[in-house]
Amino acid sequence: MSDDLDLAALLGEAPKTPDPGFRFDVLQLTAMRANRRTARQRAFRLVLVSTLIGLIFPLAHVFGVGFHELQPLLLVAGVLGLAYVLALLTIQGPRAALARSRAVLRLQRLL
Amino acid sequence: MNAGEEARLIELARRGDFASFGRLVDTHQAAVRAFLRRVTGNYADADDLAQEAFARTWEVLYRFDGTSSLRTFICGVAFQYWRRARRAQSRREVRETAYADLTDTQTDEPPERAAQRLALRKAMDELPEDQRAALALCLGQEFTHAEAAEILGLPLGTVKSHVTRGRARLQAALGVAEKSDE
Repeated sequence: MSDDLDLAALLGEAPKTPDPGFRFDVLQLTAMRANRRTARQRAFRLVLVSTLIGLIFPLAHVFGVGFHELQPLLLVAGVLGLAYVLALLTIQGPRAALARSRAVLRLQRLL
Repeated sequence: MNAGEEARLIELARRGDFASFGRLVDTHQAAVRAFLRRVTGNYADADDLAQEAFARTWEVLYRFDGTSSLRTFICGVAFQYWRRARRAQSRREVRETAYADLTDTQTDEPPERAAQRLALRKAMDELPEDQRAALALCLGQEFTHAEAAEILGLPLGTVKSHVTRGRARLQAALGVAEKSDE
């Protein structure tokens, strides 16, 4: 019983063959953690953007800039924001026009 | 799996390819799970820790620079997870569940072997963390002393001495040392 391998076997044996169930569990856990991380980042971005937008008016007020002076800037910011949201929906949205093309491209790469 | 194929899979996994990462998991799961089984003494806990370690490896794969083997890198992550989990768990709880774990996982083995495993487990649990991990890595001959030193972040000489002393403690727990003295 003094043999190292016997000692190791008594302490715990290695799985004989790769276990597909284990791999499945690992990939599931990995995907879950990745989703959680993405959700956390998205929430952080949302809070940051909302805070920055909310800060525009108080800051402008502090620097003595009124709504009329800010109007062109806000208009440009609004148009840019809308364009960004539309682009995001086109690329990643649930019924995205480009999502299908991306899926086809991905499939072609796999084949 | 040869080194070139593994490097290719690592590169694909870094780019987010789950299938490649799955193949890496298949290649290295035996060594990682064996290490954690020996160090924890509980198969279910060991497999949970191994899953956590692999999932974490996916997140930090960009840090892997290829100077060591991927197996060593994953075991390093697993060792950190085990150490953290161990600190969270009280020693009393470990002792209370030790016998139940043995009977749960190996019901068909002869009573004499079960007693030996229990004695070994007890001796193993009394060893310091680093020594226990060094033994778990090197006894099954899955890792060299140099690899174990890298995983544990210890000097090579310390790992060798941990293995020699730890082995003697385990053999004493089985009564081997006393027999050889006679």
